[in-house]
Amino acid sequence: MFAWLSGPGAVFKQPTGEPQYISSYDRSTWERKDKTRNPDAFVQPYPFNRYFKSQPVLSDAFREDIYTRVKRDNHSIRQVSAALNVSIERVAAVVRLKQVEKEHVANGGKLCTFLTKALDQMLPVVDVPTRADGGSGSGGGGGGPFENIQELPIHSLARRQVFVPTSESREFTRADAGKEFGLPAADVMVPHPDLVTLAKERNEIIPLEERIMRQKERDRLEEIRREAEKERAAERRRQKKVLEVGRWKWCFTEAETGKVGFRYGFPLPDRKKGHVKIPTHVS
Amino acid sequence: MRRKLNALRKPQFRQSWSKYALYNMSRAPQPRISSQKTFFQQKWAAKAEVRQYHGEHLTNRQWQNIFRHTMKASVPMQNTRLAVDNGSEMAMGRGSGLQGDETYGRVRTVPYMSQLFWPMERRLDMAVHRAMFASSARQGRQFVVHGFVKVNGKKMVHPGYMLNPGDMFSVDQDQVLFATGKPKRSFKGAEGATETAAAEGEEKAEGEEGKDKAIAKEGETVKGTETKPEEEGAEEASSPIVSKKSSTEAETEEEIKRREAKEKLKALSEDPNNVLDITKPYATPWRPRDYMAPFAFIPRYLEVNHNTCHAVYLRHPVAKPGLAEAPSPYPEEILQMAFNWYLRRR
Repeated sequence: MFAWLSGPGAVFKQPTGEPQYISSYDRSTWERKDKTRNPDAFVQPYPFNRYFKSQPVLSDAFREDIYTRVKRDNHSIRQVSAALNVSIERVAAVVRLKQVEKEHVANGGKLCTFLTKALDQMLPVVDVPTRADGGSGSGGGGGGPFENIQELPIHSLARRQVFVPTSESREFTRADAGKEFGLPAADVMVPHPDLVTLAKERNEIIPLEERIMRQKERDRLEEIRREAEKERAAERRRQKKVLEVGRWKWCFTEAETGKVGFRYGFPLPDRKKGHVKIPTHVS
Repeated sequence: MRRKLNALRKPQFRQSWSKYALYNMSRAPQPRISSQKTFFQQKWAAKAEVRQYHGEHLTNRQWQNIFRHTMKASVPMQNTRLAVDNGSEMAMGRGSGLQGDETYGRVRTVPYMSQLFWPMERRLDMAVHRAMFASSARQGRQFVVHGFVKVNGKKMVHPGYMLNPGDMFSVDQDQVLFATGKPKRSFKGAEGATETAAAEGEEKAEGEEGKDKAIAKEGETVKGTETKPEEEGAEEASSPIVSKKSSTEAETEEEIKRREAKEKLKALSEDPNNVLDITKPYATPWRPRDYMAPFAFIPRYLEVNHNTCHAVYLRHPVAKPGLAEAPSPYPEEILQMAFNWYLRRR
């Protein structure tokens, strides 16, 4: 073992500024493979699982950029996600993590910046896209976008296989398919349905001013809808019909008493055998 | 629990960053299951094989309880395609589009079976390891049990806690640095170098370089003289002589990268947060542990901030065309057999 570690294995000892996986070396001769001929081998951490790939992570500068866009420039998470080609939940998580970091520093805590720097030397890292093409959405030093933001998670209702007899003349669209599964059309289910609308308008050869006008109108309607929702929530809170505890909302409705609830003398199940005591959520 | 984790007699994949695990991974043969066996035996062999890596510190019952026969997947949609077609073009002609699947290019399979262990990745101890906060799944478990891990700001001592999408977990910074850093040398050695942090760092780096040089020389003698010149450069870029020579001549891109990486690693000890502190359980100033790079990856279902050692579990791992997000060293065929084993009584 030590002969291998000090011989061909020595290249793995220290980080080399780029991912250094076993698959990028020939297993018999331990020569580095040709990167142009098999680029997949250089992102495959496990030699026998070709389906698992080490995908790039956001650099610290990129995360800082996301945070400033959301916090200082007051962009919505959805906007930032569309502009930088980073999924919505990832943008939200980055903002949360950066917020924690700022609070940590404000409380006099120390940061492991050196750990991040060291890991940058062994992980595939994507840096901030340049401002010029950032708007059009090509992010990352490696060229393409960081990730596909229009990933449609397969809904559990859509897992079954259905046979729907239709007439040959009928145009069976995505909306019809969605209806069969009891779901909206895929155009609406994707994370950014507004981008699909934009692409449609671009195809219809509508003049730019008109498109901008339409987008403004849509933004206005969205704003009105959000305001109305906020107002409704505030009203319900004012009437004390809703109680927010952690991540849960308790919505109170009228109910008859005396029929449900804790019964005196009846043991609670939390000390019983066979019950799993590991919490299922932390709020 | 198993006593000897990385036996050299039979190479096994282990969820750990140790050099033994690396050596075993480097020479482990392709996992295969003989078709001479009965179907039951094949399933058993596959299940036994995959459990060497996935949750090897768990009992079979613990895994079976969280096993799910449904796999998460997602479809990459394209804005342009959604805008141009309404979906009816896929049923044109004789029912499968005018040109069949060719319209969509080569359709890559969705490796559902490689997702077998996605519920395992939801476990808190596994996520701590995958976020690169712990050097092995067992260490991740230890961090949780010893109370160094918080979920959403509250201490969580159950390694079997199943993370929900959106959960933020954090590990004590010192523990992470201990897990990812070089081990402390003897107390005497650390005491001798108390003068300046930078001096110690440099001295150590120099020592390592010397060792590397020796190693490179050894490699040369072992390999003989038939190595290609560029290959030699790749192998020995870590030795100072070669790097100096190549800096005077034309450097390849790779060599430049390696030299820069080395300088950056040296610069780690100049980081104001990275100071000499003999009370810490790891070597200070902090440097990454040896043989860590071949194990370094962060799966996409986690978003990690190593500055504060916090991470967010974004969503469950999904399978996409040609890509499975749940990390596993085993090929799809083996995982499929194991899947069938666990499906048996459900």
